Amino acid sequence: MKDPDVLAALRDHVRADRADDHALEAVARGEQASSAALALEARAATEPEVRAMIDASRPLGAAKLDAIADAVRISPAAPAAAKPSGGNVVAFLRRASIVVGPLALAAAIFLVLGRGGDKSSVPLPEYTFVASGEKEMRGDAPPEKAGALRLRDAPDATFEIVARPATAAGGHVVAYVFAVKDGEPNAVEASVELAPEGSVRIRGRAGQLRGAREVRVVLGTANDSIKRYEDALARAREGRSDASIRVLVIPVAR
Amino acid sequence: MPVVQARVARTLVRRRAGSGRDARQEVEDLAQDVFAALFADGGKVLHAWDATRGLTLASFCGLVAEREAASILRSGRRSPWTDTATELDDLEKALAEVPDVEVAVSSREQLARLLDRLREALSPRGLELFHRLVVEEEPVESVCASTGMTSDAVYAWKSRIGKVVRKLGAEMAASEPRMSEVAATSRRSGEETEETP
Repeated sequence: MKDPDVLAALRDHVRADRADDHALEAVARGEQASSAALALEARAATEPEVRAMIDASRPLGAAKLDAIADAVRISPAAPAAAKPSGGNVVAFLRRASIVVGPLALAAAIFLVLGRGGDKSSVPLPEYTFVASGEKEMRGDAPPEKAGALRLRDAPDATFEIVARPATAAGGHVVAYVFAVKDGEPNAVEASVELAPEGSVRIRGRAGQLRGAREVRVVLGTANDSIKRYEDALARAREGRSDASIRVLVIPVAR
Repeated sequence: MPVVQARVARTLVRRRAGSGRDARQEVEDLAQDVFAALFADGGKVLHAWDATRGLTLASFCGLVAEREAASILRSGRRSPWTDTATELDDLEKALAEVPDVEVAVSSREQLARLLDRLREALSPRGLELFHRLVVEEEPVESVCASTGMTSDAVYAWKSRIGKVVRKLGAEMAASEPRMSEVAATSRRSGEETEETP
């Protein structure tokens, strides 16, 4: 094989290997109700390898993450590469694994990067969310729909989404809410409350989500990662998170 | 954590199907190794990520996770990263005598092994560029725009990656002669001559 051929073969091999990564990440985030995870689950019935990948990707749980955070220790930096943050990170990890458990690893990453990593947009921590319509608020939601926003089909029905960062966000967080219908996001008129550490509470009327299959919440930092409404709209359309913008994809069930 | 776990889980299942070990436990162990690699030496690998170069932190951690998991599953231990500060000099020296041979890979397993070795041979930056230039086929101009590298530097990296692949392919052919029908095909004076298998 000539160089271009072997590079092309490597390219195809990596792409094939990565074909299910997006869905596996959704499983690992506990978003079993997402469309990507559901599609992968459907294949698992006939593909044992897919079943094994899904099972291996299910969230490890707080206790396991605690154990990992507790076990990870940073070895002393070599003199030439010494960084003043090294020892502090060790101490932080020890303290964080006790105080915030599974959040310690993400927090430590941002602590390390906060001392010399990101030079552009302010990074945002990962977010978890709880989405509820009035049925969930009354406690009768089926557990298999825990990741979805289950709506009551009534004129006065409301919904609420609460998103919390893994660690306190470093900048002024802004949130935009979109309803995705026929693949296109449309802004939702909703009440958005922001807490100083970056938590977001969104409340609105279910009628705003009529016909929508998903709600996408775009979180970023004002005048930094999100400067204009169009930035948020573009990211909602894309449905992709990165280090400085988080997109929460919440399936709507009725 | 979800990205790390998903990459580790996929790498483990694809390479260890039917091994009999508890996959959940293995995922936990491998994820721990990935975080250990990220934080080692004061977070040296983590510091190799630069948001201005275009790759997200999650994607970067995913690359590290794939590389670490594959390395451990192949050799049973973590493989040290090429030192970023000296990587170019070392790489140029190592590649100076790369024979002009063709790489023979005829199976998915061989490609996977070649990929593992390539990941181990490259620095975090080299790995990132491999993915952008080769896997994503991102135009050189785009890589230049987001990295601040000159087009000459990016083309040089592209050439280096090709040389590394050729070198590793030649090493594999020498150590695994039965794995391919044609171990290596030498090129002399512009003509190709196949060796007898």
